[in-house]
Amino acid sequence: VIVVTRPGLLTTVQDAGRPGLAHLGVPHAGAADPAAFHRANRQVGNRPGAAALEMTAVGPQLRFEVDATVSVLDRVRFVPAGTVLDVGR
Amino acid sequence: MRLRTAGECGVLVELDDLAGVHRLAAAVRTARLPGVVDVVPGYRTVLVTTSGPGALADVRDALPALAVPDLDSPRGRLVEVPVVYDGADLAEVCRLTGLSSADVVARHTAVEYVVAFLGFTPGFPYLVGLDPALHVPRRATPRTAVPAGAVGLAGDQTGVYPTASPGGWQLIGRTDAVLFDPRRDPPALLAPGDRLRFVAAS
Repeated sequence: VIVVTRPGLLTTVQDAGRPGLAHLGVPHAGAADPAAFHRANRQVGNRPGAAALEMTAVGPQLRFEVDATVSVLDRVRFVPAGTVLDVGR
Repeated sequence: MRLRTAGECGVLVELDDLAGVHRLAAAVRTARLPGVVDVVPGYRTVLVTTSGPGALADVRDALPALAVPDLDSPRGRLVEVPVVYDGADLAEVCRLTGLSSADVVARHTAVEYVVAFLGFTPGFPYLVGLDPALHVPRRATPRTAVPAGAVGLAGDQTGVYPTASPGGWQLIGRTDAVLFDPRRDPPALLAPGDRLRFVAAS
């Protein structure tokens, strides 16, 4: 579980979107930077297309209640339970 | 057929008419060109998006051979949509058209519409074939919330709101038909090229 202790300016949960349904009126949507999104999932060993946090301008502050491996701005790090991760600007 | 660049991964094909749009869209799907992500019909265009600039170049090259003008267009499914004609704007539509509500219903149900394309919200059909006597302007002030299933008129168009959303069309009725359900496959009741008939229900 991750506790959001500060949300940041525009933090959203994004996945690879819904390609192939535009003719039914469903926009592609998904991560704004697909290359970075797919890279981050590869870097931490997630399945392709797993949901990620997209952060804009000012990032959030997150408290991890479980051990986790995260990728932030192409930097991969292990965060043990109890870590407060401040993405900041 | 005219090709226009649409971003680094897409091409917008301009065609002469809606039948040509549906024919090309079907041909592109059938051809299963590598790298095609979406094939999106409009009234006079087909947008083809691809996985990247490399795939796009190949798709652009393949498109001219797929626009076959003398091929019969595939006949879409006929879907019947039951409508209770008790919309909040029915009286206003009668006033604007000079028709009785029975005439509005008769003219709205008399036509076999063609689903030109879907858009605005998931599953929302843009229908071609509305009787010119039912052409009315949008509401001067749009509603902030139109309920799911509302059937509306605007200009030369008629359609059904699949989900509750803001909207400015004149509402003449409502349907229980579920036009979009994300748990269904396909999620939309209608597809471009399908035919639709409204049936008066009580």
